[in-house]
Amino acid sequence: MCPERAFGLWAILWLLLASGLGHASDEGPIIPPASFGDQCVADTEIMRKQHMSLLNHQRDETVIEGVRGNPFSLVGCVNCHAQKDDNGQAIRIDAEGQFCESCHAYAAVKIDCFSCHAALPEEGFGNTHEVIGLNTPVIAPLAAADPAKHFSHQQRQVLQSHRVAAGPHNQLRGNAALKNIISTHTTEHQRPVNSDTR
Amino acid sequence: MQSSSTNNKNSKAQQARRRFLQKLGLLGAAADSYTLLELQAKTTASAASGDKRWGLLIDTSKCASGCDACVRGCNTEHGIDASDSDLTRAQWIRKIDLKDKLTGKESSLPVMCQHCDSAPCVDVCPTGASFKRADGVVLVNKHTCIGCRYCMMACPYKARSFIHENLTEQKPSAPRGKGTVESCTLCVHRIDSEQDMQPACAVACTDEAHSAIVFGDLNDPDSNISRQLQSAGGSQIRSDLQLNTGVRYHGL
Ligand code: HEC
Ligand code: HEC
Ligand code: HEC
Repeated sequence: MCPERAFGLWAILWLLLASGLGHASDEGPIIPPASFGDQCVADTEIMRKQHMSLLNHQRDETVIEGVRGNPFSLVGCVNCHAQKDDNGQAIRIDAEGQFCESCHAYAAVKIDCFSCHAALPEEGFGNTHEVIGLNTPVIAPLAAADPAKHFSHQQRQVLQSHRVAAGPHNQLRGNAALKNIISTHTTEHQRPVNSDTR
Repeated sequence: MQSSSTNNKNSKAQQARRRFLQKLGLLGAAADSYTLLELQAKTTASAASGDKRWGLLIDTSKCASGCDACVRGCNTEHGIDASDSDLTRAQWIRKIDLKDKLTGKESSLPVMCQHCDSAPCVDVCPTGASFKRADGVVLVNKHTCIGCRYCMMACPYKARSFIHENLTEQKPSAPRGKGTVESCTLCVHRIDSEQDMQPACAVACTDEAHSAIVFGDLNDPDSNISRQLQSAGGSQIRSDLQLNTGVRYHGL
């Protein structure tokens, strides 16, 4: 077979493959797994649906009232959710296919947050799992946080509307409950199952 | 069943997490429990309080002409690129040299946002983005700033800058971006986060062994800054405007 023809065949094969993949991604965005931590700052279900309002309330509280260390810090999102490339270099969280872009591209949402906010984790964060930046809330998702103290009024309403009480029973949540969330989640979003992050 | 390589990875992650928790002093003996759940917020979430009024006292007799340590400290802290074109560069602190024509007395001083009690920039802002926090810090809320620059016109101290170009590599603690106005924040991200934290300029000045910038609570009569103000006095630049500035100068 002459090389041109071989190339042609490969090209066709590749196209077929690519269109197949394109089709697969119609079933949902592929969301990269978190690179740090075992669970999010609130229940995953809540985060998926409510992160915009939680972020907005946090934003006003921090900037206007000077409240720091609450769970829904944008710096925190980036620290835990930014991926690393093969050389261990952090990848911008808003880059194509990355955490904040994956769903948004799929849902045709465009955010401008990262024109100002750093899209890379705080220096040293996650390299050793030991260095915590100045601005990083070390939390305490929902469960451990004292709702009266750690959440604004609006945030409490958002959380309550999901009937997820910030009570001690959440503290007992362990592997089983997490796995549940993960499996519902994977069927929803077709995320490639990535066992080493669990 | 998990493969052994996964197990390895898992236990590595476990170890890393353990180290992380140990570092935080949060790992007890019964260490098997579920990680981050037990951690408390590093800083207590308390709002800026009206009981406080943050301010600076600058001793111009200690401030050295030609020294720009405070400016550099500020630039580093906020990721301001001092090599940008002079015309468009952001400038939160300027060093100014003065000479009294009559007496010939020379002095050098840094000028930044004076954190006015009755701030003209707040008065003129059409969106409320230019505002004063309960603790007296005058800020731009960049989420609502539309970049009209009225505040820059209104400011008697020329303390504000407009960002003309797209920025990259911002610091996580100092978001900055095109189309908004910015100025000295008294390093709110530092002073809110931990007690006894000083703004970067004050730290840089102390590191340079000048200690010309004292930061503290003007409402607390026992604070270092209040005691120095009491004993040595501190004047306002353009005191004729009666803005009751939070930044005071001694020795002018
Ligand atoms: C024009 C610049 C700019 C843009 C655009 C911007 N921010 Fe901010 N943001 C800031 C500044 C400045 C602060 C104050 C930082 C501080 O005081 O620590 C801030 C603070 C915050 C905070 C509190 C600090 C933290 O990390 O928790 C949140 C939350 C936040 N922004 C969310 C957002 C979100 C969400 C978006 C996009 C919808 C956004 N911001 C877009 C400039 C910006
Ligand atoms: C302590 C680390 C950490 C922080 C901080 C954090 N997350 Fe998460 N987040 C996770 C982990 C781990 C998961 C995966 C949980 C799971 O799969 O059940 C997750 C899941 C999510 C999901 C669901 C993703 C999916 O696959 O469907 C969203 C959305 C999310 N986070 C948004 C955010 C936002 C927005 C912030 C900032 C306000 C944030 N996270 C802060 C660790 C974190
Ligand atoms: C699980 C999918 C998913 C992930 C992951 C995700 N988002 Fe979203 N986000 C959405 C969807 C869907 C919307 C639109 C919701 C709507 O319009 O009702 C949205 C909207 C937003 C909005 C409001 C936009 C607007 O114009 O009102 C902000 C801000 C936002 N996301 C921030 C983030 C940040 C920051 C991250 C990364 C830390 C992130 N999101 C990750 C799904 C996601």
